[in-house]
Amino acid sequence: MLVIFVRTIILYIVLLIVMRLMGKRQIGEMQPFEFIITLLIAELVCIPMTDVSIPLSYGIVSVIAVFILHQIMSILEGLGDKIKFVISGRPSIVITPDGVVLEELKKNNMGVSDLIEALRNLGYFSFEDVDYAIFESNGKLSALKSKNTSSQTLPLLLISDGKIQKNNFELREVSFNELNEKLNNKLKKLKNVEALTMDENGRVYLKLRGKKFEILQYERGTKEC
Amino acid sequence: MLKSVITTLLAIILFFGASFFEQRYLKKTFDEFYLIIEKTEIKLNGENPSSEDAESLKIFWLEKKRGLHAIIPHNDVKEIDLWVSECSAYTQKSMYDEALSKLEVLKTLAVQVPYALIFKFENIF
Repeated sequence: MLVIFVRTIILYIVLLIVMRLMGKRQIGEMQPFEFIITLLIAELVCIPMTDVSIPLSYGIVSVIAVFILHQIMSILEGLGDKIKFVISGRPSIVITPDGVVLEELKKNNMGVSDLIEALRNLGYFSFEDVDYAIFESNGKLSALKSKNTSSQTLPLLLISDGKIQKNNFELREVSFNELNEKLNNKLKKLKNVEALTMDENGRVYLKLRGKKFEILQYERGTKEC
Repeated sequence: MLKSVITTLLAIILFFGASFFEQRYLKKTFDEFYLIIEKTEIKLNGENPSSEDAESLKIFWLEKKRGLHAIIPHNDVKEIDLWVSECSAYTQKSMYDEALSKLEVLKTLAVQVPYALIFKFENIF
C-alpha cells in the first residue's frame, strides 16, 4: 500500500511539473492539478477494473492517494497567492491596448496563430476587436471588447513572430515584397514583426517588437499605404 | 477549509493505519509460511519421511491465500499455489527429492513476494 501510495505521489508531482512547464495550451477549463487528477483517475480505476490479476485494493489505494493529494493542493492554494501561482500558474495578459504581447505567449508555449484561434472561439476575428485578452491559469482566454471595433471581414495572419505564413499570403493574393513596399519597408526587419494580419479590405494590423500596434491600409496597385 | 483539513488528515491517518496493518500482516503470514516450509523440509530430510508431510504446508497456504489475494498480485498467489501443489503431489508419490527442490523455490518465494511490497527505495523506483 505504502509503495503504491508513494509511487502515485511521485508521478503526480512529476506530472504537475510537466504540465506547468508545458504552459496553458495543454489545459482546458481546469487548474493544472485538477487536470492531472482527471488524467490519472481514469487510468488508475480502469487497470484494476479490467485486469483481474491486479488486486482491487491497488486501484483503491491509488485513488485515495490522488484524493489526498487533491485535498492537499486545494489547502495549499488557499494559503496564499504565491503558493497558488506556483501550483496553478498566473494569468497571462496576451493583448494590451498596445497590441499582442509575444513574450507572454511564448512563456505559455503559444504562438500568434494560437491566440487568433482562441480569439475566434470567443467571437473576435481581429486583434483590433479586443483591448485586453488574458489567458487564465486554467488555459481559457478572456477578452475585453474594444470600444473601436474593426471591419466585418476576416483577417488572416500573414506574419507570426517573424515567420511568413505562405498560405495566407496566397489567399490574400499578395506577395511579401509588395506588402513591404506598400508599408514603407516596415517589414524590412522581419524578426521585429510580432504579428501582421490583413483582412479582405486590405486593413492591416501590424505589431512591431516594442511598439504599439498600427492599423494600416493596403491598397492594391498603388504605392501609397 | 477546516472541513478539507479534517478530511485530509483523517484520510492520511486511515491510510497509514491500513498500511501499517498490511505490512505487519504480510510479514507475519510469510514468516509463518517460511517456518512451515522449513519444518516440512526437516521432515522430508529426516529418516522416515511420509506422504503426509507436506499436508500442513498445503493446508496453511490454502487458509492464508484468501486474505493475501487482497494484498499481493493474484499472479504471485497463483505461482505459490503451483509450487505448493507440486511439492504436495511429489510428497504423496514419495518422490521426496523432487519435493525438496520445490520447497527451495517456495522458500525463495516466501522471501521475495512480501519483499516486493515493503516500503523500500528499490520497490518505489
